[in-house]
Amino acid sequence: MKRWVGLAVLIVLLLIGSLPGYPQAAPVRIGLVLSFASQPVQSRGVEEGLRLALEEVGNRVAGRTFELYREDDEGSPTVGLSKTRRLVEERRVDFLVGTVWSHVALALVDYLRTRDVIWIIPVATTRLLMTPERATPRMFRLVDTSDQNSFPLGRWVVHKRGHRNLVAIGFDVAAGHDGIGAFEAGVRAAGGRVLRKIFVRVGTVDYAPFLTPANLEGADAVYAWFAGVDAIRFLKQYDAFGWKARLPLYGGRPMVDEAYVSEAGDSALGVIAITPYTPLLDTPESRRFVQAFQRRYGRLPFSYEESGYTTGKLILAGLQAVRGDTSRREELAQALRREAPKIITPAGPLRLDRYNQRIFDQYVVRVERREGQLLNVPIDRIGQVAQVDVWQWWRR
Amino acid sequence: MAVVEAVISAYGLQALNGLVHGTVLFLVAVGLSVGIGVLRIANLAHGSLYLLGGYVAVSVARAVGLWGAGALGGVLASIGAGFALFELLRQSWARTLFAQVLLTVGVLFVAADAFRFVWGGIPTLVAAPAWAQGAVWLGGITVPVYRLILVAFGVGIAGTLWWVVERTHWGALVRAAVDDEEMAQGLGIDVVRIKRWVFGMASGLAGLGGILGGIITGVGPGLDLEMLVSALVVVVVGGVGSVLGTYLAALLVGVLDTVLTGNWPELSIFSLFAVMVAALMLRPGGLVER
Repeated sequence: MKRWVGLAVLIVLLLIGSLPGYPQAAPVRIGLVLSFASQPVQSRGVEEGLRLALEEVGNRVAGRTFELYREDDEGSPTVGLSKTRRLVEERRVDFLVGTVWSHVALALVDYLRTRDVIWIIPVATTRLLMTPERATPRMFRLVDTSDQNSFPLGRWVVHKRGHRNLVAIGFDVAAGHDGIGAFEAGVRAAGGRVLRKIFVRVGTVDYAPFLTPANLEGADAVYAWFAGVDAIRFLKQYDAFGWKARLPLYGGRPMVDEAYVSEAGDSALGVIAITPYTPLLDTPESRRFVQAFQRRYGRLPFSYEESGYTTGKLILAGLQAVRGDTSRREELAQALRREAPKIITPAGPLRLDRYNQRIFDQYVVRVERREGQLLNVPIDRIGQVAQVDVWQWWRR
Repeated sequence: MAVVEAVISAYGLQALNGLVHGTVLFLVAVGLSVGIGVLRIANLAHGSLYLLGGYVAVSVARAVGLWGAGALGGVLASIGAGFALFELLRQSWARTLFAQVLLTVGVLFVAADAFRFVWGGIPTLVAAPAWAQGAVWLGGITVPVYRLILVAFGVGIAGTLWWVVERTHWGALVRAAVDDEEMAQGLGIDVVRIKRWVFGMASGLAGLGGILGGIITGVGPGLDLEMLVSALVVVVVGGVGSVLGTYLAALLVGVLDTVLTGNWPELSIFSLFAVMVAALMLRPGGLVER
């Protein structure tokens, strides 16, 4: 009998000893809902930036490790909603990071309002999200809205470049209408005019029909809001039809995205856009981030990577403040909000407005060739732009 | 003179753009039309062959440094893929129209993911050959040289195809194999071999479209479906199986679509289909009926 008891004690001791890092707290769960297949540039950028931030602290904060769950929303609101439900209800994630598309983000608002998960938005830019009607204390958006970039760029082209009459052309979807609307508001605020607004469908193969003398007559500059292959085609064709030499081209933010602008080659050179972050930003935090990212992934980080990285930094700071206790979500959300101003991100100090919308310094950038790669080189700093300051223009 | 220039710049540019658009549509649609009309194969993976041609051309041209090598590689790759697809479609379980559609749509999706895996999700443009770069002034407007060359190419390719099908021995064999398969077999014609080659050539044309058209449209995720839908519209308008009908329909659709969207951009979402509906009402059998 004594032998049996001794053996049992031994077995129990062995079992306890084999448990790693006893006592063990469950990992913090982070769910990613991104468009990995349809928008790989943004999605991968966010994920890699986030992973880098977590790896820098050895994937451990306040005694807790991390577990990441990736889901692809396929760019569809219904798929995005069902994937989000699964992450929240089955995986019981503490943080939800997503989405890329604005229309998918908008589809999640009503559901997530009823849940206590912390929602961090790294890419979707619609101006309709972090508003008094939709924002909750558990929502944080770390990307700028078109109000924060297109509006100031519109003002800038009139004030600094002396353009008075502009023609705007862009996608016939929410993002294009938001971007061009905000740009027009900026132009008008500065005393200029937008003569014509041309909206074309996503996936337009040839822009030649729109780049006619009749459409561009009387303009002294053009503003374009396209993304992806459409942006590349537009840049190429704008150049091929000789317009680039005659009318300066300004672009919405995704127009000259570094991830693909090189595909347009020389046609993209000299195009001016606006962005809150470029790896050429010369601050200690930016330099350190660029170095670390290059060491880890062997390429330059751009604004999406910065979003993902800052997402990670914000999560880490919040967890540290609540000593790793994710059970009380209201307190966790308050901690994130409280800790945010202490974080210096690669794009500068992290500021949030009262709706938890990030406020950025915006930089006017020009596409230039640096070491064989096309990059957005800052040529002017606009300073902080809050979405609240622009809303008055929409009420007119 | 000033009046002439004004007219050219107002209508000439739109007409030229329409012809360019039409030529790209023709290169994609002719293979599809031949597939459906001549071989009775509804190949919905046709748009994938367009992308394959463009992608391979970009990769080979960048690796070798010769535009011609890239173009050759792209065409050969799409012909090869066409042969493989043909073998798949010859299986006994894939012979009904329903099975063909399911199978080729499946191939379309698998190919889209495979392209994404190999070439990434970042779209790219096929470079124009060095001798076709630059622009010329025509009556007050700037026109890229490549666009003029492309329209001429279209005429040449359409003419060659028409000649091969209607005037050569090989074309006669194809027509015989299609008109009466059993009789042709009885005369010692290897019908399967002929069909395989026709399907391969149709696929090669899609690849060529991806190379010549890809200089304007670029290649990237989503373009396979984009081109497939446009090509189907052209096939419906032109009448299946006719090279001449497809060419005329492509130019007609290209010019109308360009004029409509150029003047009313908001219509661009459905202008292509408006043309198709009108054509179906006026000539239900297509422009050129077989």
